[in-house]
Amino acid sequence: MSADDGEGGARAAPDRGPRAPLRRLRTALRPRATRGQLLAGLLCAALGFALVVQLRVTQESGLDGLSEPELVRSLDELGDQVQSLELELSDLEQTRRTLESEGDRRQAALRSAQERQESLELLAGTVPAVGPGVRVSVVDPAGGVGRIRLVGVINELRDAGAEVVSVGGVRLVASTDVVDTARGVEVDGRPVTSPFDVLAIGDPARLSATIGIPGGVLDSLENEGATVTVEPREQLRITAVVDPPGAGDLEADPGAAQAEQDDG
Amino acid sequence: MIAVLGLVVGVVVGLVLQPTVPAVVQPYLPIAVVAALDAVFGGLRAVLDGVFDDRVFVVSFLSNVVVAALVVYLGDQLGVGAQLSTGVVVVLGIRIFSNAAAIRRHLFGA
Repeated sequence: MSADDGEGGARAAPDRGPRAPLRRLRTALRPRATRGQLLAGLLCAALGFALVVQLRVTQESGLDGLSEPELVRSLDELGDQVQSLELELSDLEQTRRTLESEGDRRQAALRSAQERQESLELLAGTVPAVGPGVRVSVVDPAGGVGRIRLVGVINELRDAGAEVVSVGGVRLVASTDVVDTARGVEVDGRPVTSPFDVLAIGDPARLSATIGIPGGVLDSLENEGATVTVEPREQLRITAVVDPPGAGDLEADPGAAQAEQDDG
Repeated sequence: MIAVLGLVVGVVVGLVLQPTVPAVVQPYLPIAVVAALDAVFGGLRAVLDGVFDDRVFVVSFLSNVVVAALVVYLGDQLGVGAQLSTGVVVVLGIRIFSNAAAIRRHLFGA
């Protein structure tokens, strides 16, 4: 608060006392039409005018009231913002594309895995099978049909493209064994007796033609004194299944099933 | 009295006319207004001190406004307009506060 703070300037300090300022104020407020007073009034009018105008400008303007450097700065900031947002946008689009293609790949992989699973299940004989095929009934009153003849029938059917085969209610898979025992023929340890009921799913015409080929299985079975009926069916259902050996192992390692099948 | 009347008249005229500020004046108007306010407070203090003089008031008012605008203009040309404006406003604000304190002491004795 230095002495020269008062912009009004100093001429003299005529009266003193506690009430002096108020008296001076009253004196000053008394209108005196001097040239100086009028000029001061004019300046105050200009101040009031400018004050109001400036207040209005500040209130109504977003950008109008900004100076050039401020406008340039805010423009720069907006540009930076736009740039970073665009960068983010392209990043996100990239991510979306990656995720989409990954999703497609996963779906394709899932589909092919499911198809593979179905065909492997059919090969492994763990699920029932339905389709066109033939039913071969071998009535053997003389007991001349043994393991060799039976395996011959099975192999012929397989050669002719039979996908799923069952003999006397036993599903044939890669590891199935057919053996002669004292009581007759056993398939996978289960006795199979005449009449042998062989079901095969595949092309019916081809399967029956293979069975009936001259000098083929049909002839050799009839030579043993058996009666053979071949019955093509449009819809054949093989419900016999085998228990998967160590189900966990099989599912965990599909390659193992493939290997077993190859062995057969 | 005339000064107070003038202030009121100016405010009314500004409200009625609602003029737009020319772009050239825009950056300097706020600073000029603050400078003029400083002059008015100084004048009021001089009145209470009993040393008020019309001529000094008019000159200080005009010079305040012109110098403030000039400083801001110079700052704009030098590329430090925003900072210089802030500086001017701070200085004028300090002066307004000290003048207001002097006025307060005169009127209320505290």
